[in-house]
Amino acid sequence: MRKLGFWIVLVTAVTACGQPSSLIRILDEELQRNFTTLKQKGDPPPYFMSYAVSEQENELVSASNGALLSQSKGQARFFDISVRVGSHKLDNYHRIRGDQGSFTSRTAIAIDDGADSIKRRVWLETDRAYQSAAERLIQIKTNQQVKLAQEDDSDDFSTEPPATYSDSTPKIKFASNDWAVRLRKLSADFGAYPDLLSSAISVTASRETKYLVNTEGSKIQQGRPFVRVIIVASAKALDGMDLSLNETFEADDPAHLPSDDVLKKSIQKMGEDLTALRRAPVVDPYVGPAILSGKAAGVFFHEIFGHRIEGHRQKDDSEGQTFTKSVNGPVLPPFLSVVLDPTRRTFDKILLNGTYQYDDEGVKARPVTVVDHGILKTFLLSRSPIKGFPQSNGHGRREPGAEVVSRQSNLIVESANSVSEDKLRTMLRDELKRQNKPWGLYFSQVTGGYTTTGRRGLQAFTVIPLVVYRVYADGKPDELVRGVDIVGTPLASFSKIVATSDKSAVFNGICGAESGSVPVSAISPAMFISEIEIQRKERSQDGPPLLPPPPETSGSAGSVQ
Amino acid sequence: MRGLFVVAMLAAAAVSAQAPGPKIPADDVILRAMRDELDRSRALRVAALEDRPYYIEYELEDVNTFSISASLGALINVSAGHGRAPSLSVRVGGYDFDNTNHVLTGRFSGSRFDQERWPLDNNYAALRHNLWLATDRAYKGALESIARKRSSLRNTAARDTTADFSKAEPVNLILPVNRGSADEAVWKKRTIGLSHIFNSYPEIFSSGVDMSAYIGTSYMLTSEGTVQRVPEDLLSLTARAQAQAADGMQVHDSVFFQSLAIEGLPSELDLTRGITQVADNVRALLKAPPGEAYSGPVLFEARAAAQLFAQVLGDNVKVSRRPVTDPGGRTPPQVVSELESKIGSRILPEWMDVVDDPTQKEWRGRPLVGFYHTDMEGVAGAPVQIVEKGVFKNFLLTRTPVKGVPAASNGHARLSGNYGARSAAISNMFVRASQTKPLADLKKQLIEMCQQRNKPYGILIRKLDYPSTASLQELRSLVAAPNGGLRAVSPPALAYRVYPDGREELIRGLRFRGVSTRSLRDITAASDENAAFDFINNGAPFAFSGLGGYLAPATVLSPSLLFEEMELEVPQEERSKPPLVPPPPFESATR
Repeated sequence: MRKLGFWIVLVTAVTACGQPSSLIRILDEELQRNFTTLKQKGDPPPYFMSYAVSEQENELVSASNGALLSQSKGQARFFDISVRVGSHKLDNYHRIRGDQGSFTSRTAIAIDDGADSIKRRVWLETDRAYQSAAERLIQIKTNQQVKLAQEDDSDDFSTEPPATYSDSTPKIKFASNDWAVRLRKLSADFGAYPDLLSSAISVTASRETKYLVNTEGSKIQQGRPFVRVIIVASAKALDGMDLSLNETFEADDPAHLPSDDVLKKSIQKMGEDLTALRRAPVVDPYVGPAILSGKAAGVFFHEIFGHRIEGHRQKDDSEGQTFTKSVNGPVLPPFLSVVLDPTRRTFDKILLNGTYQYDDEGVKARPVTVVDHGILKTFLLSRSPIKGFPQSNGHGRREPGAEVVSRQSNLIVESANSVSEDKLRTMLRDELKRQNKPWGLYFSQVTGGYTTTGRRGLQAFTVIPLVVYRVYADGKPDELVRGVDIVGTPLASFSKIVATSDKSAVFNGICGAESGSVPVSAISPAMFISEIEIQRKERSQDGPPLLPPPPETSGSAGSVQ
Repeated sequence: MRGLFVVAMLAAAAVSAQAPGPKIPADDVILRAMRDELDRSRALRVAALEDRPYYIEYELEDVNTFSISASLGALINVSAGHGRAPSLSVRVGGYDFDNTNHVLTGRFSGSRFDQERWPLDNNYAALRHNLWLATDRAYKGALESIARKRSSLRNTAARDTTADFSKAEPVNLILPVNRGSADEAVWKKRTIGLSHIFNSYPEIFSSGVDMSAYIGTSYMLTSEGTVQRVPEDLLSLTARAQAQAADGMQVHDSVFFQSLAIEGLPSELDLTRGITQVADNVRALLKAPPGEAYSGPVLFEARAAAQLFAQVLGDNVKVSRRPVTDPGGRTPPQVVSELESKIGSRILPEWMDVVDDPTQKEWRGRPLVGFYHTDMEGVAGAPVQIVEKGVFKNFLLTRTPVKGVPAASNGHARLSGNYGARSAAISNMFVRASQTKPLADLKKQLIEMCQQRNKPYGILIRKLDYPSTASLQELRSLVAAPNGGLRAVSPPALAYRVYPDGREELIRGLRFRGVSTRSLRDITAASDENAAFDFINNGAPFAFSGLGGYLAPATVLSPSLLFEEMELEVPQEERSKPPLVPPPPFESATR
């Protein structure tokens, strides 16, 4: 036997899941039983506990070069716990040098509502989390650090009204075998572009149901369907630079995904773009005017702005705290407003990735206007209060297994200075002439970015563009270029935003931070920026494959000796 | 042997493009794609460099996996899937000196375009596309490695001139593609049912039953002429239970069943019996008194003796090569065999022999799980006399030669290794004694030895915690425990005090102290009956269940063994308190 169990495959689906309400009942019974006894016998006793379960059902089909790559189906349930000892004022989650402790661990529990099995695991997890919570509170109380006056002496945990909510998301009807046939055919279309080294098309259909009970009386069950087509392709330029493009289509039901015609066009565009990119000139580092497409501007705002208005960063002395002292002060150009709205389901018929009814602490979701006409109004808040903001605004989020912190949802940039896309280009050309530059840049597609918010490092960000054009001042046609990353420092960048277009676009993505990966979206109009800085993309050391691609044959028959 | 033939190799020359192609079934798309791309890849070269591939190896595992986890009558997880995992190796240079055995062998600074999982369809073009990209990457990685290695050796005064790769006879073995399947519905129901046994044991804190099936076909093609298509099955079922005694000590027990045949696991009745025994053992351990430090004679019943040999001899009968590093550079920590430079030395009583034999399918009608046709390097598994009349004769070997050890592989490359090498592992290990007596006499002898030394009791060991199902916390403590600088040995799962009147008393919480290959010389007697112990070796410490990317099922056969002197100790460690909240009462009783 050579190797076994070397990949974790495809969790398949199971019997129909039990009555959802029965999981809430099982969790609540065990919560009450543990809480009651721990309050009597525990030293220190807990003052708050919550149990959460994330139930995930997924189906996936993917294909490449006309062949099926994978076809799988899975279901799992993960349990998370929160135990708080001490008081709202000071408890085991108190931050010390940015660390709030970690008490939960992603625990797999039965997927079929077997009460004996679930209760045993939950009971053992409760004991483990309680012991570690009690231990940390004792450490905190003896820690001299706490006794030093902290700049922000707000409580460790807010008081929120209990919530009861239940919605049921129907099982997703996903015709896996039909998709296998479709994707095989679609993926073969990439064969028309011999310069591509790898390509794939996949579709995932998932339903996540989140359950939460806490000792304040909240009982929440909320479901979310999400289906997505992902198309990816990559190539290598002759100088070794790796090039990759991707496109996604989101929907709440497989029936709402785009038709084959739309997908074929997307594949064609990607094949053509990549082929052209391989031969496109490399741009040298540059500072000058540029236009960010709506998607690019969305990522730009998510990175340079969104991460800096997450509440817990304002309380953490190790953070850069760009905006902590700026409440009611100007932080953006006066024509821009920013709203974070997890209750919004779609934008321009596109399903948004950052939507939920209740956050992961059971607080009701609501739209939050963070910036109103350039003026900072509030932060994104979980149940960890910060100075001047004692309540959560429903942005406490996490991936199963991580502790909650405040995170973004659907970030929406609104503009009071919007012009047509054509006008925006005219403004760019005028600015080029004013700065006496032959060309500027148009960032059409980006794949994401990252930012550092810590006090120690630079307050900087990077946005990774995929498709970028040179826009010439003299009106010559746009020219595709490659090899650039947008870099910069946040405060300097905001002041250079001059105007926006009148049409917004959606970027759906997954955001990774302290509390794991959470689905988010960013919606923004295109932006004209008077000055942006780009650096050269890091380049791979190896060149394209040494041999040409294998010939297009079906292979010879077995050799005869 | 049928199907064996040799391709003449031009020493240290590039692979000849005219080498005769081996016989490939005309309808085998995978092997055809491999052969055609391999033929093309012989021409790989970078203009300025001399280094061309002298050895190319393609391997693809096509596997249907299926696994179920259940606990207390509920389903925790079911997974099933079809996947194809490739493994490619390109060597540049020559057998004497190539890109492997350097501390950075395998590091590639470039990018990857070939997929990690290969197409599930027998699509010739898609397979070739991936083979093309993967070979390109492997070749470039090999060029990087050999350049680094040359640079490291530039200033090295005394270098190990042992060859980097040994020659081996190509093996041409084409067996039918695996068409088997496990009945998922039946196994799901059975696993859930078996996990329900523990619902009758409320004192057990956590328990679970895991079943998994691997049903696959392994394809291999090398530039030396090896062509193989071998079906491989492995089914296993594990049950584990854990509880905490009133004094805070964790106790646990487990049972493992495995089979190389889809229908080969024991009957449901036997599985039930084995799992009920685990539950009863944990219940008994909870009531057992904690053990005390002991030094004196110890009797291992046959199964425990086999478990001891699996570890103490099994982990040391392989030897790994030290990689080339920059002069003065730090050599990464490496587990060194206790038997290094012991060939020819006595390590067992002269009336004992040990043979490892992967060619045996069964023993006295009982299937052996260590059987295989060829190893991970495509070499036919061969029997190896490890110990003859107490004297250590040879290691289990792969195609990576090691200084001072015979150069040719004996077909035991079964686990992944480092720096381009594979790691050897045991297959069917037969521990044999030529002087034996009935087990009852061994027990009498144990009591006599204790009486001579004025000891109130002797120790009998019936089972070791191997493969281990300890908690990670216990495992860490075990690895960290000082064992006189030796590799730790799994603690006893079931240890008993044997009093002069023959009475046995179960005790808990003991660990071995200073047990190593040296301890084997203290064997004074063996029984006339043997036990076969099957396990799945994954290369992890204590074969810790669930770890390891490669699995090498093995069987060890041993008689019961009486050791004249062995030490057991009570670990000094903090214990966590039992939970403040009592366990939740069960809603459903056992059927």
